[in-house]
Amino acid sequence: MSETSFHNILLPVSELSAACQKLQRQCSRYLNPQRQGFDKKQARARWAKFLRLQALLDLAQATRRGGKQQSLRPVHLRDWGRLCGADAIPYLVTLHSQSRRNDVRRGIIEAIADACAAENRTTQTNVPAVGVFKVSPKSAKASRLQSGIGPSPRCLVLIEGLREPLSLQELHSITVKWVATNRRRLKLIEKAAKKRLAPEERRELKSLQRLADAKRQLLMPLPIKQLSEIEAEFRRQGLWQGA
Amino acid sequence: MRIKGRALTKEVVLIDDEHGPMDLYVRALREAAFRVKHLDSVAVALEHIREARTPADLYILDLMMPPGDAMDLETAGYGLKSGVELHRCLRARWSNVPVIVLTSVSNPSILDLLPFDENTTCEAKIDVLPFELVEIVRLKLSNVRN
Repeated sequence: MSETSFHNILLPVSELSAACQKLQRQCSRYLNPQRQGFDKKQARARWAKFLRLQALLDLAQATRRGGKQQSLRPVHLRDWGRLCGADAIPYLVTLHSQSRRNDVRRGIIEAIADACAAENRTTQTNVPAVGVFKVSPKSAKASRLQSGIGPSPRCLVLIEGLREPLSLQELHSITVKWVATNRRRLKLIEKAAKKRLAPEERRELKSLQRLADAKRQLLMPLPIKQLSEIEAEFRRQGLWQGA
Repeated sequence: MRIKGRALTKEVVLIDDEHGPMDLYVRALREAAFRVKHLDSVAVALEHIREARTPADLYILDLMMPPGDAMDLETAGYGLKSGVELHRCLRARWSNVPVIVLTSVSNPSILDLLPFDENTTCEAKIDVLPFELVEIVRLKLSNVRN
């Protein structure tokens, strides 16, 4: 895997823009109260999704413009975080992960703090260390977010304290969606204990266990570096030849 | 010009840089027989406020808009409160014109900057479907008449 430049991992604006236009067309149909079978609850949900996508599109475009980048104001990011909800967080992290400006980092952290429940705020301290890497199309497909619009198909994030990179979807599932992820994991473990796991559930459980490991590393990273240093020192002194 | 047999009478000016959601609002208002003018930048809005001889019947105003070159970046809060400044200009020119602030901004530190008076109301975009905006506009205009 090779590290990409910040500008290569911007949101696919054309994709977002097309999705917005599609939703707009749908909205003009579904939001008509005279339409047969008009459902206000459904209309409201579509409208909210449309506005969220539009806000993401604004964010992506504002970031692309350069110069007086309003989107880089912490308070602005925070508003976007509130507006787009938790779905936006991986985008915010991706878009601004390599910024060297402290206020931008603070903006991301505040946006995450707003969107995440208190017990899931583990990414706060790790955000400045996020890196972005190229990934296979298969992993990119897996990183599609709930909104149905995936980020650039080439990005994967590596958070300090984690041994391997996670897709944005995976990052999302161990932070914002951790409670649901863990609930599903426990359910599969119970099924496994009763030996009732289907082959695809077995694969899912394996993947969820990997995510649970990542979550544990986020919460309490193992002192691997220090242990490696001690091991190297012991090897140097001939006190340890390896297990 | 007539739509569905009704004369276009009331003029609504919509000030918002976004096009997606605004197109739906504009269409709903036009279908309800309002004359709608969509001003999509701070510069155009400021020009309208300065140049128009008479005010529109109602203004719908967004808060977060890029100030461009028309407004000082600090005054506009780096785009976060351009609408607050526009509202101030509107009030300075026409003190009683009804204004609906239609915004996605939820940050109280920005909303509190709006000098709310009896002719200004604030609505969150996410809560207002296009056909609901029509009802809000009608209600606002009827309140003004009364």
